[in-house]
Amino acid sequence: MSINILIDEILSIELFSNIIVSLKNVCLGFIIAFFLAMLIAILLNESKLLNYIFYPILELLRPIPNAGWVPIAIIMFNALQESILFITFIGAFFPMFINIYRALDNIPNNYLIIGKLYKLNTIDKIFKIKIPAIIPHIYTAMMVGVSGSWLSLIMAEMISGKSGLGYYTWKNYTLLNYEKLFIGVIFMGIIGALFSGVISFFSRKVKKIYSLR
Amino acid sequence: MLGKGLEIHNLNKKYKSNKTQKLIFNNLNIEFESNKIHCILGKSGCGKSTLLRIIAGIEKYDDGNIIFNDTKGEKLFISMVLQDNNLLPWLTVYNNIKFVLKSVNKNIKNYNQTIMDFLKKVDLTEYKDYYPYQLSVGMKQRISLLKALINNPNYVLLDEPFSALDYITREEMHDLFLKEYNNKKFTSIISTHSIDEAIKLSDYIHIIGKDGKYKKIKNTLKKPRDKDSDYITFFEYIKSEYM
Repeated sequence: MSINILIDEILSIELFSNIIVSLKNVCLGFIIAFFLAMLIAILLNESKLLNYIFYPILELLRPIPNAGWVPIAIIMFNALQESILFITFIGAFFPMFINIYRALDNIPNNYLIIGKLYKLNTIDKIFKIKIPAIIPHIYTAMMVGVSGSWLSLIMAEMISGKSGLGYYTWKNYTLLNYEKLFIGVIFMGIIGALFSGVISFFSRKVKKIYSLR
Repeated sequence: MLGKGLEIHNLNKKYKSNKTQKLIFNNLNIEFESNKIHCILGKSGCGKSTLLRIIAGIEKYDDGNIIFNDTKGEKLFISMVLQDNNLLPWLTVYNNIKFVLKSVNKNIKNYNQTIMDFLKKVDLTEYKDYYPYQLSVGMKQRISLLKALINNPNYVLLDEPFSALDYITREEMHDLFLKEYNNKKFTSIISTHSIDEAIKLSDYIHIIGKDGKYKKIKNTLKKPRDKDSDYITFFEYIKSEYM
């Protein structure tokens, strides 16, 4: 691969616009998945009834491979963009949900005792004790979640996309354009690593505060 | 106010697991006099911590009556010091104290001065922006103990608060606790498995055996309680009841 081709391609509008599409999808899917995972995990943690009803359902859906959701997403959503967003969401949601759910279940009893002792209401208990108590685990969940959503997005774009980094890479594979294929793969790695790096950077100080390694 | 502050009548508590159940209290009756220091002495698993949590209202019990006699007309406020993790690790020292003040009184406005006075008292002003992980075990327990007293509670419950400390720090904490008790006068119930600690701090020693045996002994030794012959005689007596 010549350096010139590499530089030209990196500076090209085509690669740049595909990266932007992928970034937009991964950020949106990840953010929706994060807030829903938090909300559902907290609700199941707070209510034995909701936990009894919904946890088995979520556990049944969780092991379905992300690729298994692709045809379902295509059937469920008319627009291609929405089905790709759904796959990205699924890739992030389940790993984040299970991490947050288990973290809430394992909050040290003394913190909960402090909440009970000062008779905190449910909202204060959630926002002043439970969520702060699991912040290091939230970072771990985010790390796993962002990887999951990135992998799912690339896969979905490769299978059925019309734009995005996955689509760009797969298109160049089918056109036997191996230089561009490699550039696509390299950028997949760089962007994935950047996501993890940013979350890891913020989690380091937090882990220190919580005396975790 | 002196007299019977807290009365516990016919307390029953069982811990149930899938197949077994463990009886903790079977018709336990205890009285705690107001404005006195009570030590609950017992071996691990006898239910000391459970009893404190039941009194604090954070653990359910199967049956019985718990009557607070000395808070007529005023709001009952119970504070508790645990063996460890009394400070929330995600809050600085300043914010940990603010958390307690604001939890008890949501409308409090001039908390800054109260917190700074508090920090001055524990000689930790310069540590106000430190997180708990940056403090020694002794510093953390010092803050925890005084934090429990900051809102002038009616009852201060201490669940083996000094057991994780080294000898010197433990002695310092005992002195600090007695000083605060003499200043503020509150009813305190301390769980411990140390006979020495119980003798040094208490006005009454409540011995709870694993078989449910209960005995209350008045500590008549003069303060300060030096290890003289009276102390040793009393120690041996408590030990014989404890064993």
